[in-house]
Amino acid sequence: MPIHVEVVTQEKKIFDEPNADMVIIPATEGVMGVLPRHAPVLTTMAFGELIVRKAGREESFAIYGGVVDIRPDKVVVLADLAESSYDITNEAIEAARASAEKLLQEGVGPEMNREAALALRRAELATRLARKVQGRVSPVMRIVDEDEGGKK
Amino acid sequence: MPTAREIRKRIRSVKNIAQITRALEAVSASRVRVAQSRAMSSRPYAEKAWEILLNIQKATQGRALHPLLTRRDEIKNVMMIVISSDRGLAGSYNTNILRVAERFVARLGKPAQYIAFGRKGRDTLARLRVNMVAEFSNPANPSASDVHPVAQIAIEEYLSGKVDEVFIAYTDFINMLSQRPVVLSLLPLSPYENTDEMVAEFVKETPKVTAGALIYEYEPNAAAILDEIVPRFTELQIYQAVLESQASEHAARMVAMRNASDNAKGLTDDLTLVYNKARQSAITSEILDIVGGANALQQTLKALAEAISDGEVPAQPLFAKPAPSAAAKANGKEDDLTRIEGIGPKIAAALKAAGLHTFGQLAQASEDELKAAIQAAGLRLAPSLPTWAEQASYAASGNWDGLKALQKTLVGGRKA
Repeated sequence: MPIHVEVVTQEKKIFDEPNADMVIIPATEGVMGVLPRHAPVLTTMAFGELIVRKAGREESFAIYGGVVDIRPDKVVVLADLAESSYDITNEAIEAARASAEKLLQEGVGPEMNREAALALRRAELATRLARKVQGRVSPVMRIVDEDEGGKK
Repeated sequence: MPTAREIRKRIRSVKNIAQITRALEAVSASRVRVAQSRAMSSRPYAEKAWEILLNIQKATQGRALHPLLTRRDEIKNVMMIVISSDRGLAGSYNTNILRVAERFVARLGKPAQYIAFGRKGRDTLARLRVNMVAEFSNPANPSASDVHPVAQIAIEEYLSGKVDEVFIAYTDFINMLSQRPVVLSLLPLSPYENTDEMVAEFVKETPKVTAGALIYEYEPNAAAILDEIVPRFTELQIYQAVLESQASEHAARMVAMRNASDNAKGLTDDLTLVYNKARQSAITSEILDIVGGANALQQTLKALAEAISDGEVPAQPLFAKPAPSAAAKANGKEDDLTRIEGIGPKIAAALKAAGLHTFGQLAQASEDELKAAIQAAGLRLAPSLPTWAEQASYAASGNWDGLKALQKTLVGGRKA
């Protein structure tokens, strides 16, 4: 029995795989591995990597907080922000990091500082995941066709 | 009736307007697709989040878990967020949404605060002098962060107790041809019920979802999940309303512009017809003038002819020729002066009037005499005048061959 995995953000559904074998979720209480017939759980997510496995293939997403609805046959990830680890480019990370650091140095109020700190954390996670998927010695097959670039 | 030129001017200006409306129609047609797909793509999250909310509500059996979820017993003040467009030329789009918002609030009968999202709505609300607490413009490509401040104000006002209900009036995109202005209950986040039929008519039903079939575990706890999801969901509902409204706005503008283009085409056709009529009537009146003049002349002639045949008036040439002079009559001789090259019937008549009737007399005459004769008749001097005497002397002596030989050397009566 497979699991149906959906990853949605406020703006769009970024991933939909009806026949996954396993999902690894960065929950706030710790990383959770979810297999079929899991008990129904609603949990919040921290910053981290979401991995979907299907027949030896693997898909990786950077998740920046959110909620996940786990059911025996379905996992719906409601992410505040999310992107495929394969879509992260070094330039984008660098740009985000530079602007965040600039904001921090200027130090404009607690609100902006919080925003900047959050952006920095996002950049750190994005860097880690991008290095991970790009620096693999033996590349793992992706679920999504490379041609589509993981965009759904 | 305006002249043909004025009508042509109007046709040109109508055609220019049609060009603009056609361009606007094409732009809106492409934008409506983009806006529509964005509105669709944010639906999965909204449905999911709503489902989770209902689930938690059911599981906790109405125990107050999150202040944004609890309905207050007494409603003292309400807030209305009105989503309109920044630009006009969209038919009745803005009027409709404002009318619905206004009627809804009037029906509730509670003091209301307004937030205007979109410049057109802001202008109208300002004119109506309602209590407007904030205003935002409606950006072309909104992201979730654009509506963040709206959500923040709504949540703050609700939590502080200044308002007890928050509604959002927007235009639901049904399809290209129909958009429906609706009111959505935004806060508190629980199914909205109102017994007033008029009010219920405007209210958009919340999506039907299957809830309560499963018994969930909450990690770390239900409150933490609500803290995460409730503000996001509030924001998302506003964001979705904005996207739906934009799709509706572009669709409404497209339809309005298509109607305008069609009207412009009809107007051009009508004006072209009027223009052709004006042009034809101008031609007709011109012809009528000519024919009328000719008729009048003919009638005069006819009347004269009848008078003559009745013997009332002596027969007389209408255009009297000058009577031949007495000298010529005495001589009983008149030559055909037009045989001289350069002398036409008019000049010949002028010369005869001056007493020059024969070739002999012409041969004797000086150039000054000839000039005087022609000018006396009011004619223009002929350039061939100096050769007339020479030509006439040949003719007078009956030497026609000599005259012919001379005329061959002349060009238009002049010495070559």
